[in-house]
Amino acid sequence: MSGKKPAYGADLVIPVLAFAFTIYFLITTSAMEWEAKANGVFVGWMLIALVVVQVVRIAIGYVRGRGDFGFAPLVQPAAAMNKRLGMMAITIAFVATVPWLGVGLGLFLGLAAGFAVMGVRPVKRILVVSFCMALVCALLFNGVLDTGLPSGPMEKLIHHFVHTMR
Amino acid sequence: MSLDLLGQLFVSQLHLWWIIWPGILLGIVVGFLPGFNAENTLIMLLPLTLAMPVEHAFAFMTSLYCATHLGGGIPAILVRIPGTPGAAATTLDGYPLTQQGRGQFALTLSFVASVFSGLIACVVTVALLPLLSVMGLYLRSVEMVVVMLFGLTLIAVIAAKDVLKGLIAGLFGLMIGMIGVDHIYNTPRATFGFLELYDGVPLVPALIGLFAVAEALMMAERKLIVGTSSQSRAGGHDWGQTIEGMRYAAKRWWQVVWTGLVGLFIGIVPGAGASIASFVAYQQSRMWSKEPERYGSGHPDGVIAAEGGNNGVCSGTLVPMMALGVPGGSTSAVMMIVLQYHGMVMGPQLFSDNPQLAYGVFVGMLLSYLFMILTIVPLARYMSRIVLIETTYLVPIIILVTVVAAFSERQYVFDMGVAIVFGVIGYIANKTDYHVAAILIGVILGPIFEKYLVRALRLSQGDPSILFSSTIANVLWGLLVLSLLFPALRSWRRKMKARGSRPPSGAA
Repeated sequence: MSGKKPAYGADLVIPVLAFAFTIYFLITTSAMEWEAKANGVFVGWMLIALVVVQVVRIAIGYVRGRGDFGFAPLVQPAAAMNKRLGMMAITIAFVATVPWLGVGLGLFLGLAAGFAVMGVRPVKRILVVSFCMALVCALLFNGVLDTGLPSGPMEKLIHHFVHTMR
Repeated sequence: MSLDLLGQLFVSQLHLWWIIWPGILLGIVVGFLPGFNAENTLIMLLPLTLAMPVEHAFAFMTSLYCATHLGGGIPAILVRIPGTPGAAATTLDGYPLTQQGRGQFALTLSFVASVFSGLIACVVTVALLPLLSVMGLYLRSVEMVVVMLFGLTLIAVIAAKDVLKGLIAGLFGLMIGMIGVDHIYNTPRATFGFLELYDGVPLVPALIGLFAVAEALMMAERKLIVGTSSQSRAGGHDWGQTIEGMRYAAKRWWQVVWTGLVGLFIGIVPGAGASIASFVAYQQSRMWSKEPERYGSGHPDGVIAAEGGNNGVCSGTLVPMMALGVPGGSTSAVMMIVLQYHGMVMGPQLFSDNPQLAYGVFVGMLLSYLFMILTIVPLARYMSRIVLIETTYLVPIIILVTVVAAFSERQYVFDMGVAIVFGVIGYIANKTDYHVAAILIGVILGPIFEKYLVRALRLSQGDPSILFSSTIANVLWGLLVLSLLFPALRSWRRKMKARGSRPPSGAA
């Protein structure tokens, strides 16, 4: 951020999150025994004090015209931000659907969509790389390491194929 | 133990090379993958290890265990994703070195430091086993509070550039670490109503989010991990950086030795682990360094310290198990199951009744380290080329595959969501200079610190003077204060010296 005016809006996100969580922690533990809340109260009040100092520091900086309340560092450059938002949407969709799609098919679709959002071309390459990665992961996580990841149509097909071969 | 017995054990363990090598290879793969660790792999392989003769089973398990610690450093250095929590401190200097096109150098440093610190810890363990075995009994909750503080002071060290932001990040991490049931009454705290958070914030998904997902989101604005000016250096086809790394590590042999010993002593304490050891070793290395300002921006000593501490732990965790029958960690607990299945009785008796097995475990470990260095160092050159893959491919692969790995530890889809949430927090922290490592130190060390602190305070019925009630704790307090004051005193002395050597104003 050197050379640019500090964006105080972005600088405040973590302190605000920390402050909100601390207040939530202190309220929900207020009726508990001292052993359950001693550490939280000590750390929590220190954190609140530091957040207040940070807010005062930002306010002074703003009054003196050193920065603005923008969020530029979080959302720029715009092209990269679109990719980030696209990837986050794909990841959330992947987590929401993986119990039904299974890890193999879910990863294949997620990776293919991810590569497309990131700008990989042509489509054939997207499909080949996604398929290979999904297959390797499905075999590694479910076949070799037996992690209990959700099974879907791809895993059932492999299972059926292996049984038929036997 | 006689040298004759040692020689015999070495030869007999050498014959087990065929089982040590697969253990090493599997361990490196497991360590490389976030979400997997030696413990869950050994549990999955129990049917295999229970069926083997006990010496074979132990050679396999220890080689896998040690290799996991080494493997965790590889993604930490190359893509800023610690494969195991113990490798989190490795990212601090390992990844900046990779970004400078010196990935091969950093990997070699990490491998040499890991192997030799592990070897030294092994030798010291074999030589001083009776002494070390009682050490764990003297380090109780009071002393552990101070040991934890050694690690937590790293937050202040990381915060050197912007103290306020660093401390806010660290304390935020500590608060997050307090989510879950308390250590005495099991009352849930700040769980947002999620049953999945009763055991606390799952460490692996938090680690994956803060490092892997956040870093992948950062990568989206670059074409490659390395900068344009470093591309030619990163893409070098020679062994230059490997040789440079080996030379540097040899020159800094003392750093390797003492960080390995820090790992060993912390590993001996049941419940303490590699993540504590690596952070404490890193913090101490920075504190005593002549150039502390270079730490965090790609100082090779930072990689050595973190990996030295991380791997010194391996022998340490086996000491209480072998000598006292108390497992030093979850992995040694799984190993104990195998030993007990074969009718071995743990404790001091093991060394008189079955010295071949008791000492053979450590000799086998020593051998697996020797095999490991031969296997892994030549690969540094090829592994480091991963940074030349375009981020258009890396970003989706890192995000989706590591989110899948977040599931593996507890097998909850919920944990994938945790990884995403921490990914967003990590991204915001990275972009606004709130150090993610400071948040992670809080998340990792916070719950352990709280456990020891509350335990100590309960013993004294709330009287905090118990923290200064033992000689060992007081010595540790003294060392802690000294290590905090030393850098300030040194910089003050330097300033005074510079002022003294400066010509008086007005002089030509």
